[in-house]
Amino acid sequence: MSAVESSVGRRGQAQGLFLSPQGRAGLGLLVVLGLLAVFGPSFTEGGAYQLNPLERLQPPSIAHPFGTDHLGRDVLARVAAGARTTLLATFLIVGGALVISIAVGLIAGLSGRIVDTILMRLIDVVLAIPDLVIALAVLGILGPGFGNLLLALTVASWAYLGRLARIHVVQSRDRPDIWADQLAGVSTARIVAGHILPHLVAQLSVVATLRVGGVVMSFAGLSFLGLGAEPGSAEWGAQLAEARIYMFQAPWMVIAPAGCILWTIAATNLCADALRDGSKA
Amino acid sequence: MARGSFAQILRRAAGALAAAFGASILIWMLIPLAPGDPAFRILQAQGVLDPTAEEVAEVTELYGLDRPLPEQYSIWASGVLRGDLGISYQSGRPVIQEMQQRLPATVRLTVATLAIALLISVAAALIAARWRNQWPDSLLRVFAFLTAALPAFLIGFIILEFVVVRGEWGAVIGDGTWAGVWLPALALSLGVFATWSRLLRSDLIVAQGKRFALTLRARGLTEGRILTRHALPVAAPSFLHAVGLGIGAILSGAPVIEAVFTWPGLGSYAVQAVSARDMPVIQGYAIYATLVYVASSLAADIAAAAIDPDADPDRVR
Repeated sequence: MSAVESSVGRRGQAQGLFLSPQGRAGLGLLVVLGLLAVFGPSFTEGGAYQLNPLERLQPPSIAHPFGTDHLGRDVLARVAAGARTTLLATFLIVGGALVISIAVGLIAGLSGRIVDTILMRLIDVVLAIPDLVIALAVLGILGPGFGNLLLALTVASWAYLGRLARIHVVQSRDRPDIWADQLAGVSTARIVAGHILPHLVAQLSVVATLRVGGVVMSFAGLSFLGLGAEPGSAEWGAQLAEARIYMFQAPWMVIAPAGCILWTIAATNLCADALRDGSKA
Repeated sequence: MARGSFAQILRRAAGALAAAFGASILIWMLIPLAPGDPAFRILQAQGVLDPTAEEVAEVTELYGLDRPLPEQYSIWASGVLRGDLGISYQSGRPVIQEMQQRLPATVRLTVATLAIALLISVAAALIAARWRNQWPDSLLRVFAFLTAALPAFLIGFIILEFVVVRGEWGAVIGDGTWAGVWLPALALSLGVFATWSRLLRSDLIVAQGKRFALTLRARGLTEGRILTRHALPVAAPSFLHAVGLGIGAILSGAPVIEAVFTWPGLGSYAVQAVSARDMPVIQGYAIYATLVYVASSLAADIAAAAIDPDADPDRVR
């Protein structure tokens, strides 16, 4: 709950990210990942889907720094395209969950008792179902696929944030600056937009970073099982599924996407820890 | 147990029951929300590939699919309470029968996972707290960091390829027996290792700094004995609360791990059902997972309250 209590800790959080060794390491790892996603595909000619049957299962070389796969595709180009996919997917899932939870938190925290109770009971109910089961159920309704997996993971991850958002809104109604605004006759819409929302977004974003690693894991895991990105597409989980039978023949096919997943989650966990410690201080 | 905490447990149990009831409504909604006429799909599951209008009308009547939604829910819910989870679209067999066949494998996996996870996290936390900021603590910190950054499916995949395929130890296709459960259970338990061991370690260190620990130290008790006999019970309630929540993480990880190890349990059954969009099976799995999660987090909170009368099960950490 510490993340919600301190509404003054925003500067502290940012400092935690930039000043602590953890935060710096995490940011550094993320920058490298971002560079890979942006420039990686242009290092290699042809890109992630260029077949080259003559150069199947080539070990790492200067032409192909991470080797080639069973269809002669460049593994570096594929993990770089996978980095784009993963970063975009994570951004959309976590962003979507934040938008839903902030909307629910504001509605619940500012409406009357009945709406508040209904929304909070809904959150209790959603939290009673394990996350992945919710994702599987949504995928069952919509069918497997990349966009549907994004939606499924968004639906599976908003509830916890929604509860925190509502607590934050209810607590901020008692803040002296909000009283002052009310006494001065500032409209509710302006108070929400100008004084509640900025704190709320900052606080929830910190908590949401703690969940990013889990989102990356679920996204790759469900794609590995063929429920997300199309088999054969340049996404780390789908790549691992393809690479599986070449594990000992061409280990680089496994090491590259597995290393990318480890790298990404390690980076986001380091940032999340630094932000959390910053918000405690 | 204090009387106040008894009332608290009753309140917590009522809340769990209400959440389970609410969850059943959400789970039931999967069928009306799924595309296609449910009566049509039920008939197809029974082998009628091209049903006539009369047959569709008959099934619609039988399952009350034309009634108002609240009535449809009560028909469905009373069926579930009697153990009728509907008919699998894929196999045409009752879902409950197929789940009963697969339940033992999943129970074995869950029990083995919990056992391994508790054993390694408590041991790691005790070692890390005993040699705090020395090399065992640092080593365990790095290990926890790595397990937190490696998805369970990847750990499972690595174990499967190196230990089973290369090392020829264990079976590639899970047979669902106790003998084969340990590798998938290890992969699954590493998913909660970081959270559990780090939380218990920091709670143990807090307890070590309390006055009672100072007194015990002054009486000449060894640090190891203070940790295991005195600090551990103090740290136990909040750890148990985390274990209750962690069971949700284990239930979330199980379908993927079961699919990786082709373990013949409920989780891999649910994953197959998603590809085939077999809604009654997904519903059956969702009911199972929700009941286990609600019941086990309730049990963990009751156990925590039994150990510590001051424990507040509503506390959000």
